[in-house]
Amino acid sequence: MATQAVSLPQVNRRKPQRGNRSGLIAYLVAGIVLAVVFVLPLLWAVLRSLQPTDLITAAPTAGDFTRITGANYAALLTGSVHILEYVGNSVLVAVSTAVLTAVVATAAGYGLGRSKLRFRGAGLAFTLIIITMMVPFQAILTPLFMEMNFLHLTNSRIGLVLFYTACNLPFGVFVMRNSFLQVPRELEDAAYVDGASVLRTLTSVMRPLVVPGIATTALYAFLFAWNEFLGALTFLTDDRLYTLPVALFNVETSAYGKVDYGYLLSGAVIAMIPCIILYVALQRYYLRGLVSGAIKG
Amino acid sequence: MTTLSTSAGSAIRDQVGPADRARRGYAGRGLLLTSPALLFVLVFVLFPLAFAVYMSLTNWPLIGPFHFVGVRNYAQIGQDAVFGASVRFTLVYTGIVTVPILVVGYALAVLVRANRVGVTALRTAFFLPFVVGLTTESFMVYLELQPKTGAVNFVLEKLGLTDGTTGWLVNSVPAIAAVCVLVVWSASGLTMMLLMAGMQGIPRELYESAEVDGASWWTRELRITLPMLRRTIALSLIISVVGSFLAFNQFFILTQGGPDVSTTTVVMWIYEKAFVQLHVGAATALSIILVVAVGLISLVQFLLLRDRESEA
Amino acid sequence: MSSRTVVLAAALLIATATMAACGSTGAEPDVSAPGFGDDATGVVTFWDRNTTSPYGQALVNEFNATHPHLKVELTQVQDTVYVTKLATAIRAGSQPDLVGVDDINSQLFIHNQAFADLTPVVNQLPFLKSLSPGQLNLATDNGRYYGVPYVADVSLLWYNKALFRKAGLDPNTPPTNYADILADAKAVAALGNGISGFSFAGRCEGCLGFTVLPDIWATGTYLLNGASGAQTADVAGNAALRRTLQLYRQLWAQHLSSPTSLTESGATWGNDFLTGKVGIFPGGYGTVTQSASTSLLRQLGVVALPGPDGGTSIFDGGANFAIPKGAKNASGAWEFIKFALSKESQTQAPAEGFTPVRNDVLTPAYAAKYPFDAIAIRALNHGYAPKTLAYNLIFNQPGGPWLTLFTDAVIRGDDLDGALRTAQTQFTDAITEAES
Repeated sequence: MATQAVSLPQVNRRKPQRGNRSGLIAYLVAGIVLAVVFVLPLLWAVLRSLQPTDLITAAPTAGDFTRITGANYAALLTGSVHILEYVGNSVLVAVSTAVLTAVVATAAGYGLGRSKLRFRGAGLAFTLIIITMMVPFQAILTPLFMEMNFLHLTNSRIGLVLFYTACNLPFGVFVMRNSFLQVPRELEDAAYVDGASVLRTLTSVMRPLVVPGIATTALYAFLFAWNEFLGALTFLTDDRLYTLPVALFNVETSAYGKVDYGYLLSGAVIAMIPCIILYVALQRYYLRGLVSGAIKG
Repeated sequence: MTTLSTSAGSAIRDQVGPADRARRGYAGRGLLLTSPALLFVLVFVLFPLAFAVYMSLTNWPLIGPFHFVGVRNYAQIGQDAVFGASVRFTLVYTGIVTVPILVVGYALAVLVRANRVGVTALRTAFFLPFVVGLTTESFMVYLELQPKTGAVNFVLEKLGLTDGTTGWLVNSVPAIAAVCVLVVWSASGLTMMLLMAGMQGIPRELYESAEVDGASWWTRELRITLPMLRRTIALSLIISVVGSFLAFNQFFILTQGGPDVSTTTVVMWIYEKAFVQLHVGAATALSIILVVAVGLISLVQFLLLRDRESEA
Repeated sequence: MSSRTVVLAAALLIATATMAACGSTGAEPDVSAPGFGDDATGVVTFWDRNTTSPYGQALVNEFNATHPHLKVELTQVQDTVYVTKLATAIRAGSQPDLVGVDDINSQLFIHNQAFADLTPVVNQLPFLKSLSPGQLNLATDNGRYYGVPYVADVSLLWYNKALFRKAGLDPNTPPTNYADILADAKAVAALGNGISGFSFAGRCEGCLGFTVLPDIWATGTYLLNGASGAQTADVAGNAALRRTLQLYRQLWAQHLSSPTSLTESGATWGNDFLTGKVGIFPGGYGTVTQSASTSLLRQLGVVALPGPDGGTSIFDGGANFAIPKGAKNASGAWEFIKFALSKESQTQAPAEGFTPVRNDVLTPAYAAKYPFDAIAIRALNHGYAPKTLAYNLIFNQPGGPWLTLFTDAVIRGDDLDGALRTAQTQFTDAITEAES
């Protein structure tokens, strides 16, 4: 199976190098030091978010973490900043985006990736979808706003989901088309000979082979929607619809009163957690997506 | 469109065999399956692009009446001093972060490309900042960059590097420096992953024969790895250059473009012009320039890449 | 294929034309209907800026307590995103029933036909003549009223009587012209020990517009002249502007101003004056009264901002009420406006750091309770605020023409004529851009 395009190529097992032992030690030392540099700021934010507010805003003293408390989180959950609502909005928008992107991209990937279904203009359609990857949404924000406004899709979570889906589709279609291209033709032919419909073929015969692609597509769409800021800032005007990043921006610019760094930090930590969990759990699919993009460009 | 192809299908139905007929039917379904994606692209990318051209020729405010003004918005771009400043700043910022991201990413890739003890953990560690994303991280460092309460000044003072009073976000140079460090930290992991995958794809026979010829590690890296990685390096450069060109979140969150407009990026200025000053028409003219610029960057880098490949 | 391309292009064109035609901002409420603004029912949504919302919330609480049939819901909107949020909401048809907009931004929305014409009901207000003229002017277009003043936030000239006394000046003789300001600042600065004669926010374009422009208006000349749509800038040849910049240049170059004046970008504006280290400080009423300690307040004096050779003016800042077109409960909104403009409501403004927009609240008892605010109310009669679409572009934009002019003329100070010439062009360009 031609997995080169979608899976992380396996490491070359290099010949044991000379000075193996000192090399290993150098590698370990460098690796650990650098890992600390890269992870510490994230851990640091978690620690800081567990400090009481008076310590957060006081002049720092070396590692004063003697008074660890969940007070910021408790205040965030019960206080004037309705964080649960924003987390809820973010979850709703990100999950919907992931599902919708996966469905639309799978359908298109199937339609474009199976020679059986090849239609006139399929090449053009694929090019059209892929080339939009080169159009950054930041650069067409104004016409998008006007158009979505006209369609009553601004100030709406549904509108945001549709917009995010559009942003993620080119990549999704690319990944899914590749997935379907790799399904052996004989397998599909066998299904057709058996009289299976297109949908049945898709769901029963090919599913095991394309599920990784779907996972990749959905994962990217989720993370994109979870972290996206500019679009949400532009398209949402009602506070109650805000996603987490926009709500945090309001905390930071003290729209809810004095800047509460405790809220800001604990809110940011809450925003970070799903990203880390999803990445660590679904690393395989994440990297598959990266590499497929890299090899195909 | 679907109707069109179906009727075309029925017209030739009588003249073709059953196998072809089945194929036709399946092909119709292929188009049907692809059409939702096409619809999305049409509604959210192609139409806005076409509509942007029209909007850029009007004096469209966000609200209220407007009229056609021809190319006036384009003619006035020269007078827009802030746009000029934002273009310069965006270029400078892109220049500053691109090389460090590549160098750091490359170094990390070298460190983790071989399967050794704990390598998966290291890859994850280096990649996490990218996964968490600049937006969330900007919120996190906002506190630490405050002059009196932030950890950055505290640490730098303890290390004897500064006097611990730097107002990171209120002065241009420290603000740019702080954001650039943040971005390099956050984005290097992506470059690392891309380059690492590229490195692992290089046939190991190349290294083995070089080693037989007595080539040193450096020589092998320069003569084999770098040339073989050209495609991947170009790709990571495109990703980071285009990303820097479209920078918004980190500056909007940390500096709000200030002090003055010294950290205002092109996208920030377009946003400001459209949604704060309500000159959507003029902002759209600037957007068109941005679309063309980003398109050109991608094109130039792709062409460069192709030329180099044909040389090799 | 080509026929499909044609169909596609045609569809795009039609869609464009449809969207372009759809530029309306909502239906005009019928303000002349009998009973408009009386005994309304339901809910009124009110968007107030975070700067004025403590006062707004107090009024809303009282209103809701006394009007069981009508409920006002205040949404606090951050000042910096107010225009964006209101404009996008109007565009989306989700506008509130009532807005408290920065008065300087009133014209932006009126020009774009987003606010309801309230002329008939405004004319019925028995206290129309007592309303802050500068703010009301900002809500007026072609003789029609599209809003009314809500609360005033004015700029004044504060001085520290204790420092004046120490410096041998008469604490009861405030500066009344530029020569006074310069001489007094010199005397106070001579005290040394980190005491400065003067203070300004050299990196805060908004603060400078608020406190420096009135000096020019005091002479009866203005930087922007003419009605919106055909405005001209009078910069290069403006004698009052030239003298004002020269005054600030002297105050800076002769080291009479606090060192932080160079870098102050607004966040800690006035802190030097509030710690008693500065003799003269042009600043807002609320900036000082809300933050100064009681002991400091006792030793402060305040006057309207003086012009070069006398005369006074103040920046008539603050908020205006307006009812966006398409408001669902315009009648309820007007009922609340009438409540908020009552004497009882307006006299609560000083406690929140604002000035009432009605000069008829000024009684001897009021003046005794709020001596500083009494001066502010009297000054309102000479108050002014520029009626222009270009205010934000010229004066409120970081790095905009106004701040550039100020920096070049006052901080660099080597080529005043050149700075004024450059500014003339930039002001004119900004007007062209704003009015296009």
